[in-house]
Amino acid sequence: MGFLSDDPLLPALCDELLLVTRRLRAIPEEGGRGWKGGWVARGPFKEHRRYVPGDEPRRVDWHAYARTGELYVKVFEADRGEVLPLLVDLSASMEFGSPPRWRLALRAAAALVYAGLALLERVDLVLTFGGGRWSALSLRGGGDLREGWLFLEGARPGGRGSAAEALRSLLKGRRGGTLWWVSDFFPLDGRALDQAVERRFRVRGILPLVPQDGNPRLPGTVRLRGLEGEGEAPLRATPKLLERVVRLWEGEMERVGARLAQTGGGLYRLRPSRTVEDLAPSLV
Amino acid sequence: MLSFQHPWWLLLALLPLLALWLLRVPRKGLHRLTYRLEIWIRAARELNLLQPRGHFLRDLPLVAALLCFSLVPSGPRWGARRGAGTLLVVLDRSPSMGASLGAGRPGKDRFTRALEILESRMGALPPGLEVRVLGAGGPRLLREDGRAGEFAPLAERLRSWGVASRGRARLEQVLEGLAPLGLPLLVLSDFAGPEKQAPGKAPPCSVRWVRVGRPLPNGALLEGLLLPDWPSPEVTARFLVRGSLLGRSLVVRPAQGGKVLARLALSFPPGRKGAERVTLSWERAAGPVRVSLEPGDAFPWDDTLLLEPPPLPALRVALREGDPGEGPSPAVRALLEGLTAGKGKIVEEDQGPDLVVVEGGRLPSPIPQGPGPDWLLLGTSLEGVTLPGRLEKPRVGSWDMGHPLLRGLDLSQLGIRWALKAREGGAAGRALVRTSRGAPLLLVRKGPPKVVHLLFFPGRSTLGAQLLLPRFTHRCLSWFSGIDPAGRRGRRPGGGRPDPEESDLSSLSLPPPGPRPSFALPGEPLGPPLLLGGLAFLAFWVFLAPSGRKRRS
Repeated sequence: MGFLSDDPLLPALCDELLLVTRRLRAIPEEGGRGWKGGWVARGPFKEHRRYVPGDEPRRVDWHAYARTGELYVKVFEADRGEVLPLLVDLSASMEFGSPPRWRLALRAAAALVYAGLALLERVDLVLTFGGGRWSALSLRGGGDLREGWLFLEGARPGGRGSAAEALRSLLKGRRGGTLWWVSDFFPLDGRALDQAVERRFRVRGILPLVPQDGNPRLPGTVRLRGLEGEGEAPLRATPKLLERVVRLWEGEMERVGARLAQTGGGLYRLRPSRTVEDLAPSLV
Repeated sequence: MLSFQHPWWLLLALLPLLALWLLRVPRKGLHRLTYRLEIWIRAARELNLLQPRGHFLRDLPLVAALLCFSLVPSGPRWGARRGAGTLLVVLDRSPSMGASLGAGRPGKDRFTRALEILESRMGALPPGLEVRVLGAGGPRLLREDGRAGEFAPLAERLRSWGVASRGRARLEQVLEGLAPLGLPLLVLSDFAGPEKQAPGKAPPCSVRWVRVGRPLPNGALLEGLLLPDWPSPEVTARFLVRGSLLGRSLVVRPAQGGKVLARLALSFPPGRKGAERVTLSWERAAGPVRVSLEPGDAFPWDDTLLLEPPPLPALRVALREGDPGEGPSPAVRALLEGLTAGKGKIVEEDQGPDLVVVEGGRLPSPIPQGPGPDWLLLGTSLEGVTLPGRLEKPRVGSWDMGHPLLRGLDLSQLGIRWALKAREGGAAGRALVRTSRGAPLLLVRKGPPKVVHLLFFPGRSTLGAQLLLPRFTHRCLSWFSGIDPAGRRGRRPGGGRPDPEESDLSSLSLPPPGPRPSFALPGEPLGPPLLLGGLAFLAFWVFLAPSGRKRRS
């Protein structure tokens, strides 16, 4: 089993995330569509599918339950377009931190997959490793949750380069919508972002924070090496230097957030201890 | 080559290197990975904390200075070759070394001869060279130490050893024990060398065997032989050298020193075994020459030869043709030109120092005894006595094939029209060539002076039409000039060849070639230059490189 399946807190976190998201969606002041915004039957009935935990109870077809004794939810024609495209950056730079950022990123992606399968019809998941390599998986309904998590568990970071190719594949044939993008956003992948902007996508960036982001520690004289082969630099770490680095990085993230806000989305910093609070607004 | 008197002190040199490694070279734990290297560099550059590339090079002068200082106690020396200035001599004292050398050397045994060889060779070594002599082959191992320049007292002590009366302390075991030392090893023994013990196995690299009492060519320059090309203005000699010599040159210099007369770089096909013959020529006017191999090795005595080309002989030739009114026949003219190398003229009478030609005249009577010019006579008179008659078409019956004048010549095809009748013996000399009836055709008197009297006339024979003429001319030259037609061998400097039993030109069964043993003087001390260099490095580090250190601090 993998680290996601073995995580005892992850199911509770997902349930809470779903709950908070629904609650937020019901609050117009939080950007939601009111209490009815969570679900309405739109368009003609299309099919049934098996109920999975997290599905809207109001979508359960109780008549079918009375006939068969099993829970089914109704799927309408209008639900077909509701897709959650999720791009997870697994380049070598995601190995930074302790615990490494890629674990937090995959954990966040797992929660997003859970919520996406519960709230929307489909989740299109793409893991990008840089250098033109990526893996894609399309999930539909709660039954694909396990498959999605297994897909995430098997992924490991490595490689460098732009995610533009992967994003082009992910957004192919679509125009408009919201893109969830989990990454460290340093540096911001301009080519990939342009792809999303060109197709009128709102980009919601999820930045899993590691403790070393805001509190780097280096022992005296050190030789720093870039994780993606950017080279190395010998330097002496002083408190001033550490403080300056944090400040510069904060500034850089501010710029990334502003750039994503221009697309209609934003940058959501995901703190390890407050995953639900940080992640739920991105789903509203 | 660099050598050290106290090699253990070299461990000191590890300290600065260790310090450099500990302090300057970032260890594995000092590397950190980051995803935001660009920000780090930008921040460090803004705060001037970025260490430039190769910053540790600034401390290299300090490390170099420490390295120099730490090398000084080990006593480095430059110029010494392998061996560190010590020669080990193993002297065989086994009972067989007490055997006599045989006829011609009464009362001298092999042990005494070995000591003579050792003493003669010490003179060719650096005086300060430490010599350790080990006496093996007896019940116990003996040892005496000395120096090559003060060998006489050491030799006395060695003589007191004498030959062991019993037992042979395994000489091979002693040699095996000494081999790991890597020192040049000189073994004097009548024992078969390792090449005989294990055929095909090369002897230890630094061991030189000197066999006492039996022939064993053991040097690199094995033999020198003057080729009989007199009276050419150049001397030509042939040398026998080891086929394994690569990168060395055969050099000819005047015996008293001076510029190089001839040089030949020795290069043989790789893997060549045994000996090679090489030929060198140089000016005859240089006189005695010293032939040596350069660069030399630890045993130069057998790689140097002295050659003394013989002086031009004062040869007088008296000709007397029997036919008045005829000039010298072409054969006689050719013979004369060969004898005089074209310098002489055939005239009625020439009183020059080298040549007297009397044609149709009178010969001095009698030819004076004692040192003086030699004589080649062709004529009807000998010492004023007219020969009584002549032989018509005599046939050559026998000749002395062993005499230097006729060695290798075939006179059976020599046709003679007529010859003079003469008696042999006494002042007339001995007959070397006789007719089929026993009458002399060629008379020789050993002299001095040497006299050769041809009783037949080259112009009245087939001598000039055959290859006999140049060959006979060559034999005459060799015999008159004292040069053996087989050439004159070189001798080792320092009073003749030190050990005639060791070399034999005819024997080419040499030991397998191996690396040449070598050692030399300890070399020039490097301590003072190292100290100066260390101070210079230190000054450079203190005065010229502080700017970088300040920036870093």
